Amino acid sequence: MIERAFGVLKKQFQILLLPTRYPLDIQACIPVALCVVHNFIMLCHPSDQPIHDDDDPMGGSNEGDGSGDEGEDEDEDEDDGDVNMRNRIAHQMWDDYVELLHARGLV
Amino acid sequence: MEMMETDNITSYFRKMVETLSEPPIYTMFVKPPGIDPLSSKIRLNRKLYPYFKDAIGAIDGSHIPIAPPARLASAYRTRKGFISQNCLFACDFDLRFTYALTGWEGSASDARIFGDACMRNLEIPEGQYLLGDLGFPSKPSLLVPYRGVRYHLAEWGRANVQ
Repeated sequence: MIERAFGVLKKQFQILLLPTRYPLDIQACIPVALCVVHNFIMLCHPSDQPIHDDDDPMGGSNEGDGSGDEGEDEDEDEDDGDVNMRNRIAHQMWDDYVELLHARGLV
Repeated sequence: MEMMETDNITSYFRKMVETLSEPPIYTMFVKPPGIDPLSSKIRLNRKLYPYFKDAIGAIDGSHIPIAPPARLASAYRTRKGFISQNCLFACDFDLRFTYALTGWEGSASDARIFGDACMRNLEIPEGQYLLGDLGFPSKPSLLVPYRGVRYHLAEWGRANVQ
């Protein structure tokens, strides 16, 4: 979903595709300014969107594939509370999914 | 004469960029995550509703090309070989941006920028969380996928048939 937001932003504003010749601080501000413009367009004219090339419902590119290696050392940050929350949500989803399979007579 | 016009455009462009990326304009249009009520995208979707009712959006980093001075260029080189800045964005379920942090060197990891964002001004209300990918640490305010688990996208696709 957020990849889709990036897609929209980059398609809408071609300036983001190539570096510009402005000073570094201005270059850093450009994406922020464009977020504002994007939100403004969404607010005032939600139908004014660039046409998507892909109809992928999951939000397009799998750019995140390689990102797994970045977070390796951050794993120690997880404490019991976080793991519990994630497990709780996962179990709830799984239980409902199993129930759904039963309801459809698939198991 | 031509030179002067280019200078004018440059200075106006600069003014516009500065105006848009600072309060009050910035804060008027980029509302922090969690301020708006739960999106109907979650509420009305049976696959998502009870589970992700506390999710307030998604967060990810994106590389945007940048041209730094030569002496800084190496820090901006990403693991894929481009020279870019790593920008952290959060958006809600209606594709509106709720947070933006730009200007980090392309060599910085998503997790590091997220840490910086939390120390600066990224505030996630108690009990709610953003959705992130594996580049981020798992925290109470950030839900990431399980490591090493293959998610069955095909099943999700089929599950549209209610």
